[in-house]
Amino acid sequence: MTTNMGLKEAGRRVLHLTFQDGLWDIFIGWLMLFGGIRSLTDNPWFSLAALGSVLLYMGGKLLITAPRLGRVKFGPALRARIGVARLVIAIAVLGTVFLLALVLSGQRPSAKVAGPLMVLGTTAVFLLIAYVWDFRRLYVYGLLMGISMTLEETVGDPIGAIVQCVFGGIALLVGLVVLVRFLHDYPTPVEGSPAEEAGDVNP
Amino acid sequence: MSTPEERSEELHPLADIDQVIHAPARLMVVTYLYVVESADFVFLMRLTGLTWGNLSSHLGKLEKEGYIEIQKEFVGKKPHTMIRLTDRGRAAFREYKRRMQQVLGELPE
Repeated sequence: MTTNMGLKEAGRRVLHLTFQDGLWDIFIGWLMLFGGIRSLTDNPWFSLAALGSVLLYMGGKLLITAPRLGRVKFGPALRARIGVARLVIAIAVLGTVFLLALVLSGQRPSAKVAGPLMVLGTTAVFLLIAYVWDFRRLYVYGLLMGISMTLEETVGDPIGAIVQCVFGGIALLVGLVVLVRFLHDYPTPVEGSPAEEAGDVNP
Repeated sequence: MSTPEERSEELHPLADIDQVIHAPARLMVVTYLYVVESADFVFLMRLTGLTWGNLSSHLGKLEKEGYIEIQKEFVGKKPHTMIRLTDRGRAAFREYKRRMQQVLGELPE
């Protein structure tokens, strides 16, 4: 093993440690599940529930992950990788807003163009982030998302929505299993422990 | 014509290996600190798998050598300790890497 390989591996491990909490899986699973339920029921409240995944993710990071894993400020190389992923997400959000603006302004884009564009765009975003972060489960979720969206575009509801719910449920389940394992493997340092006395246990 | 120091380096490259970094646990700590800007004690403990006492002892040695810097900051109202590699520590690690590559590169297959 050369030192360069060692440094690459060290960077990968630092990044991977922050993914061991299962929160990404829960976030994606929740988003897909409630997105599917929204399509099935046509109830807009489920869209809000789907967006709740963002709060769930942020709250989980703050209240579950940070006290157990500690804190890290990434170096330039890791920051650049995270920056690329953020850029991809920002472009995807802007693309979605642009499509939404077209719909709201009455200039409905052709379903033949908008549908495949959304499927390809969403799948590409997931696959690209998975590649940049070297987060393998994200490849699977990207493909599952692509399959369910393609079904929704081709076969239509309820089959597309049901498949999306099933895939969301699978991701959610995987996330919960990973989270339980994480809670078991990384307990919060207890009050009065050496790490706590050193002032390293986060509130 | 090489100087006596250069000849000595050519003959005994291992003798000049930085022993502070060379210890496996410290090498692990320094490698991880090299790829991040800073990390707290708990994160390093999780990453390296070292116990509190072990990590504390190794960090003490690295700090004594001036390779790491321990910064106290506040998260909310709680004091918080972040650990970072100093410029001296980064330079020492780069030099260690260079020497090890030299030593290993010269070994026969």
